[in-house]
Amino acid sequence: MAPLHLHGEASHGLLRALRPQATRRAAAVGGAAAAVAVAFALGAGARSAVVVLLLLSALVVAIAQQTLP
Amino acid sequence: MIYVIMGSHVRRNEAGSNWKRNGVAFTAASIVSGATAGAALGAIGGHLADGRRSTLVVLLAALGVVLGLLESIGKTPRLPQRSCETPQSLMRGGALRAAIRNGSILGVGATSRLGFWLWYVVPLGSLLTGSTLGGACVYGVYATARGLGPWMLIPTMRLLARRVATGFEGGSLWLLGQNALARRVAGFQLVLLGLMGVIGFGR
Repeated sequence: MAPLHLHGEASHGLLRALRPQATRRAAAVGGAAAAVAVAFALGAGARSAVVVLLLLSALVVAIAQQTLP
Repeated sequence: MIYVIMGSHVRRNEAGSNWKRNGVAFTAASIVSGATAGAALGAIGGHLADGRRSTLVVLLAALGVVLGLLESIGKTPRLPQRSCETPQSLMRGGALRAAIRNGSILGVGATSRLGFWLWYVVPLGSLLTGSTLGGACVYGVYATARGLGPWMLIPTMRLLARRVATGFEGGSLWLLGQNALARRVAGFQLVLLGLMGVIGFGR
């Protein structure tokens, strides 16, 4: 029983330690996406922004799917 | 995916360097299958008239905004998907063959668990590019990112397992715990793409 108990505690510690970092990283990615979209919309046009966002979406969903059970 | 690559016959935390060979096979299979699927979809989309394609983009973009908003607030409508685990039968032909087959399945993604409405952007986007190259690029980005997953996940989880002494499963648990965050990010991304799609093609 002891190893299982320690394993559980360590896992919770890991979750606590990494959650804020992951949140900041996700916010940075989201912010970057928004910035790129706005820049393209203002500059090269909305259709170019759609293409960039489409490629970015493919990347985002592939990463997001790593969190699926 | 990770356990397929590391081999079912290998005990956790004791996998040797064989996972790298399997990882290369997994990544290559993922990219090839995804890019091929995208190229095929793009070629099919090329048969659509430009006007009809633009109308489709606007309609789907508007739908994407709604679905993205719902997903980002945690009220995800039921997703049409074949939600299943990696089939155990995949492991029968040996670790290398399993990695290739798993890579091919995940590179396309359609027959595995999709999880997010944003996934539909990949095949539909490939189709609506209307070109073989465009479709291959869109699906290729997805397949490459999916195929590179093990190269980031396995070393990271090993590092975490050593530093925090959680065992390899600690990293997996942490990753699963990020699902709600991933859902919000994917929803936000879908809203952003949808809005730009409506603006860009709706004029």
